[in-house]
Amino acid sequence: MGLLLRWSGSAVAGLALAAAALAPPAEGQTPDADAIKRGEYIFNAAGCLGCHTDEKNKGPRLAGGRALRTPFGTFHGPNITPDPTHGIGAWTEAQFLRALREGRGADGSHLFPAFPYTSFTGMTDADAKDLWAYLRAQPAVAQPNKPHDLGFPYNIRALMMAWNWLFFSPGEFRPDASPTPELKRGAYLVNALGHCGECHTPRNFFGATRGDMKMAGAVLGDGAVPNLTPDPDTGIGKWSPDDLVELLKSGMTPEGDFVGSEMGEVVANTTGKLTDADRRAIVAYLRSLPPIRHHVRKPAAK
Amino acid sequence: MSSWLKRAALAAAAVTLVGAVGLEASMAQGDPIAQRKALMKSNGDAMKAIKAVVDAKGPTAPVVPEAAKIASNLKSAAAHFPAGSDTGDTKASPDIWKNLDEFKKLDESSTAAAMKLEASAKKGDAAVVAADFGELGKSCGACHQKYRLK
Ligand code: HEC
Ligand code: HEC
Ligand code: HEC
Repeated sequence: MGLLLRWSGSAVAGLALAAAALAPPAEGQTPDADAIKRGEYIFNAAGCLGCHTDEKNKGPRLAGGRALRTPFGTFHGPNITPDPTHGIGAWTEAQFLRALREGRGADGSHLFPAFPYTSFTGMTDADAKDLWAYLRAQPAVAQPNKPHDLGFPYNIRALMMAWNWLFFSPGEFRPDASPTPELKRGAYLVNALGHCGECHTPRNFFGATRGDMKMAGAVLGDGAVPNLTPDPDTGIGKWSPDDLVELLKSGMTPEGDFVGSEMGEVVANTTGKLTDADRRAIVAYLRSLPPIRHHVRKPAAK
Repeated sequence: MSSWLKRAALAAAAVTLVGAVGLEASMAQGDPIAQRKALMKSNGDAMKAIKAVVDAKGPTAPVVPEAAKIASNLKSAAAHFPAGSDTGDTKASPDIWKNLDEFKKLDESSTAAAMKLEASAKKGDAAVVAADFGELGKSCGACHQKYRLK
C-alpha cells in the first residue's frame, strides 16, 4: 500500500514535470496571446482603426476624436482604448458583443449607425471575442470623448429605436444561398467585417443602405464612390480578378494610378493587411453579385 | 530586323512621340490643372510599365528609365499646385493649401522612393526592386489618400 502510494506519488510528480516541460513559454503562446493575434486580424479586416483615431491631428491610437461628416451632422469616433473612465475599460465582454450585435452602449442606450453595427452584427461570436481580447490588450489613453455635433432631430438617441425597427436586422451573418466556401468567406469579409457597403451602397432618405442597390456605388460627401457590381459599363465587369486583387492589396489600378481618399485608407488599414486568399475571396464574392447598371456622378462642384 | 520587330519599334516610337507632344501641348497651355494631370498620368503609365517588369521577374534594367521619369516628374510636381488652382476640373483637395508643408514633404518622400527604385533597378536584384516598387506605390497612395478627393 505504502509502496503503491509512493509510486503514484512519484508518477504524479513525473507527470507534473512532463507537463511543465511541455507547457509553452509564457510569452507569445498562451491561449490569450493567440486570441489577441487573431483579434488583430479581425480588427484590421473590420477597419476599426480609422474612425476611432484622429490621425489627421496626430491623435493617440484608438483614443477617438476623428470627425466623421454625414448629412445628419458630424460624429466623433469615441475612445475605445481600455481606459476605464474615457474608454471602454469598464465594459464587459458581453456589453462589447451587444454593441456589435445590437448597436447598444454600455448602459443599453442606442448607438448611432455611424458606428457600422448594422454590418458588424454579422460577426461570428468567435471573431467578436478575439477582437475583444485584442482591444483589451491595447494601451489605455485617458482622453475624453468629443460630443457629436448633430442637428435636431438626429441628436435624439431614442429615435434610433424606430430607425432600428425599420432598417436593422440583427444577427450573425447568414450567406444567401449555399455558395462555395470561398464565396461564403468573401461575403462575410465584405458584409460583416469590411462593411464595404457603408460607402459603396447608396442610402435612402433615412440614411439606411438600400437593399435593392447593394454595392452599386453612391455619392458620399463631395464625391462619388464607384459601383462594385459586375456591370461591364458602370461597375467592375471589365476588371480581371487579378486587377481587383492588386487594387485591394496595393491600391494600384490597371492604369497605374493609386486609389486615394477613403479607399486609400481602406487599402492601408484593411484590405492591404489581409491574406491573399481573403482578398481573392472578396473579389470572387463581388464578381458573383447581380450586376446593377448605375453610373455614379460626382455632385456638382460648390 | 524581322518585320514584326520593325513594326513594334515603329509603334513604340510613335507612342513616345505622341506622348511627348501630348505632354508638351498641355504644358504649353499654362494651365496648372492640365499640367499636373498630364504629369500624374505619366507617373501612372510608368508605374504600369514597372509593374509589368516586376511581375515578369526578369532583368530589372527596363525599370531604370521609368523610375527616373517618375522622380523627375515628382520633383517638379508641387510647383504645379499654385494657390487658387483648387477649382475647376480637378480632384486636388483644398487641404493642400492648408498644409502646404506636409504636401511638399509627401512629394519629396515619394521622389526619394522613386530614386531609390531607380538605384536598385540599376543594381539588378529583382527582390529588392519589387520591394522598392511596393514602397513607391505606397508613397503615391499616401498623398492621394490625404490630398486627392474622390
Ligand atoms: C465608420 C466609422 C466607424 C467604424 C469603422 C467603427 N466605429 Fe466604432 N463607433 C463609431 C462612432 C461614430 C461611434 C459612436 C456612436 C454613438 O455615439 O452612438 C462608435 C462607437 C463605438 C463603440 C461604443 C463606445 C462607447 O463609448 O459607447 C465601440 C465599443 C466601438 N465603436 C468599437 C468599434 C470596433 C471594435 C470597430 C471595428 C470592428 C469599430 N468600432 C468600427 C464609428 C466607427
Ligand atoms: C470609407 C468608405 C469606403 C469603404 C468602407 C470602402 N470603400 Fe472602396 N472605395 C471608396 C472610394 C471613395 C473609392 C474611390 C477611390 C478613388 O477614387 O481614389 C473606392 C474605390 C474602390 C474600388 C475601385 C473601383 C473602381 O472602379 O475604381 C474597389 C475595387 C473598392 N473600392 C473595393 C472596396 C472593398 C472590397 C471594400 C471593403 C473591404 C471597400 N471598397 C470599402 C470608399 C470606400
Ligand atoms: C504629393 C502628392 C502626390 C504624390 C506623391 C503623387 N500624387 Fe498623383 N495626384 C496627386 C493629386 C493632388 C492629384 C489630383 C490632381 C488634380 O486632379 O488636379 C493626383 C492625380 C493622379 C492621377 C490622375 C491624373 C488624372 O488624369 O486626373 C494619377 C494617374 C496619379 N496621380 C498617379 C500618381 C502616381 C503613380 C504617383 C507615384 C509615383 C503619384 N501620383 C504621386 C497628388 C500626388
